[in-house]
Amino acid sequence: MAGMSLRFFNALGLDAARQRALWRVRVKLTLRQFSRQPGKIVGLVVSALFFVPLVLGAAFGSAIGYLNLPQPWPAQLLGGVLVLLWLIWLVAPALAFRLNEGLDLTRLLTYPLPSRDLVASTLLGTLLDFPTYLALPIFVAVGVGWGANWRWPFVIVALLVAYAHMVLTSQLVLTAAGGLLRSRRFRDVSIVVLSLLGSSCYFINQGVQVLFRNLDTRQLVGIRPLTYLQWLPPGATARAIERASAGDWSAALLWLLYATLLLGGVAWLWWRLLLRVVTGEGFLQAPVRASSAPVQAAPRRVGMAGRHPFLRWMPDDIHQLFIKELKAMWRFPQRRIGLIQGFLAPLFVIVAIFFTRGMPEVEVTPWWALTVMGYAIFTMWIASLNMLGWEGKALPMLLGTPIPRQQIFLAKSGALLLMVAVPLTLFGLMLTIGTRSWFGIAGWLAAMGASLATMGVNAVASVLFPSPVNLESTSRQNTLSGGGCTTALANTFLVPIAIGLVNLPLLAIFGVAYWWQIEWLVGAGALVALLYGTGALALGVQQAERLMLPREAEIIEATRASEM
Amino acid sequence: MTQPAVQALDLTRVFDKKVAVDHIDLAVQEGEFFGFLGPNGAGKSTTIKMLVGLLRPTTGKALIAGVDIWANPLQAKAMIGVLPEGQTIYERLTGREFITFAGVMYGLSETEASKRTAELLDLLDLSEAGDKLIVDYSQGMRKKTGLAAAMIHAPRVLFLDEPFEGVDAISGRAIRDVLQRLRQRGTTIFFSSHILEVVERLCTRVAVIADGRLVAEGTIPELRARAHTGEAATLEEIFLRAVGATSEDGVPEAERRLSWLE
Repeated sequence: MAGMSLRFFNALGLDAARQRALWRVRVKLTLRQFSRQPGKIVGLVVSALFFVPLVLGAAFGSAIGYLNLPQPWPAQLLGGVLVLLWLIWLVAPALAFRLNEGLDLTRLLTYPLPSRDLVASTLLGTLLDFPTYLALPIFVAVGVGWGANWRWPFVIVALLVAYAHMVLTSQLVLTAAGGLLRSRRFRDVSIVVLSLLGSSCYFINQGVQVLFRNLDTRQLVGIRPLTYLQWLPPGATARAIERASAGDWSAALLWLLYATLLLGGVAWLWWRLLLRVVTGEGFLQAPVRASSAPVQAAPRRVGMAGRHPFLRWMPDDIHQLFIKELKAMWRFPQRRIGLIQGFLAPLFVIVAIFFTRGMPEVEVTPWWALTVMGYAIFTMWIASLNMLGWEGKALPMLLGTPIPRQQIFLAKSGALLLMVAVPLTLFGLMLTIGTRSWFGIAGWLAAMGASLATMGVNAVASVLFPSPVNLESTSRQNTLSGGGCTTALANTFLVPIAIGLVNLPLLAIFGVAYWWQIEWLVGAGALVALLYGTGALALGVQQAERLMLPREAEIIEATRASEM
Repeated sequence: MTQPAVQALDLTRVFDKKVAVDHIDLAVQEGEFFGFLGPNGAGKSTTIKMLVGLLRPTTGKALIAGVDIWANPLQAKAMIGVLPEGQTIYERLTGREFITFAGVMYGLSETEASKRTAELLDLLDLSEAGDKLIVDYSQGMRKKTGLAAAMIHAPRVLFLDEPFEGVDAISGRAIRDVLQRLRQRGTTIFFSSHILEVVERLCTRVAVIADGRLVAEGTIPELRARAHTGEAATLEEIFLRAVGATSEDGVPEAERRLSWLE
């Protein structure tokens, strides 16, 4: 067996010993990611449960299509399927999903390994990736649909070329993204933009609906997508298979040759790019300009003169903490997402009200203003959860100072309230103008009160159930990096229940007002909510400080993000 | 008699079954420049974290000028400045914002903190970079920023965990100069470092920790005498002997074991 593999690798001009060593490392790394993080096995099983039926269905459906669709549709379908797979592999790395983890090639570049060995090991390494096996049924379906009458060896070669394109193009995108990611500004913006793409699904959905409403289906019949797709690498392999099926072997071989040449080009481009990125030349980055004169630092305003007039009443320590918190909300992309989503929420509601067609007419009464309170409670629960964890690695620095701990929570609460107040105010204004009723203002006041009470609960919860936040993560998903089962359960179930209970008196007041239609109770309830919320926050902050001081070392330990 | 500036009493920390720090007793007097040495994983950072109130000891006490940092954390923390291991600073603040912030957290007014920040940035040659985000700083600039934040309130005791790690010669020189100036004005400095040449030049007294235990403590001439290394012995030779990395005949252990290393 070893002799066979030796001959095989040698025939391809590869170093068999190195390939074996790289393969072994790859196997060990793959297995150890499961043994070190057993949660990944659960993730894999859940993914398999979701994707396997989906892929098997797609494979079965496409095989039926290849065999039964009238001409020229089987070839169009083949082109569409292969290009779609290629696009998934191409786009996924840009969206921070690594389909083919591979070895970190940048680490291997310190060794005297020829580029062909690295490219080959990258391709072989994908045999250990789960997504490869998700693509396999689709390829089998192509074999079933097009491999009859001894054409199957040609189909297999064509599919191997298509697969190599998928993997290498994916690596190319990954390397380019890696090069761009060296720029912190680009990284920050990309995290925000990609996360907000998820939020914009609603708008995309609306756009697609409009497009389909205006689409004439008769226009579709004349379209031959493969005519255009054939110039893309996987489209070329589809055309090669289609030509072979028609018995036009010379055209089939030419199309396959074209796809193979493109593959060589992609591999070369990827390799050059990898070297550029690793050697620090970067990718698509402007050269550093030598400055002709030393930069003169702008004179700084110091003390109270530098403060916003609205903030002059604040004690120095709370002011510094408050400003630091606001800056963190904007400068950490993971936090900026929450801020922007909060601002976008009222916009979504406007779009939903004004642009959704075909919905039954709903009369917006002044009582709707009270629903803002529910939005406020939910938003504030999410925004103020794990307040201490969001300090990230800097928490030991903060807790290493003698600052009274109440000030920390008060400043954080102030910044969070300001953040949540913007969408709440927009909602309040919309409802006041929309219903022409003072209930909008009352709803806004009640929402602010509920927000304060919610922060009071979360101040205590952040001391009792702190969890790590990885602020250096390059994706929103990896930011919350664990914290243990008890903490997760507490933050998911116990804390919302506590928030619900604390806000219950307010909900009861407005429930009574709505049930018996007592309008004056809404006004009185709004003022009570504001006072009640302030009291609940003060009590929460006081308790948080009392609980925090004796267990600061444990909080630091609990919020320390594990080394990934 | 005055209280020691820093005192560890039977300080112990156990992680699961591993004893990271094993019943350490030490006292650092006011105004001393105290070097805390040890190989990687010996327990230096763990000890410092316990002394500054960032890691709870399994047993024992840590006192700052007689104040138990675990019983009266805010009172004790007001007297110290800490440059911890790793980069525990707000990376998305600018250097200027962060140092001012730290000053106010230690009880200075904003006006005073801003004034001192400008002076510190100037002293540490960070004025030009002061308005850039820390996340874009080099390792040396981060260390200098951390040091400025730790000393802005003129603490009685300054704890520095590996202040020279990853720092280039120019930044290292700037940090050394600042530390010497602090020492002259009577600040107690508790300092851990791998760079023994710097320790030898700066420290008035050193302690060596290995496997969580204090294996040597004293001035460098005292340690030299105890280790029988001769008067010309460097701190490195004393250190290697103290932690058992060199045999009696002075041949490094690694060299003895590698038969092919001729």
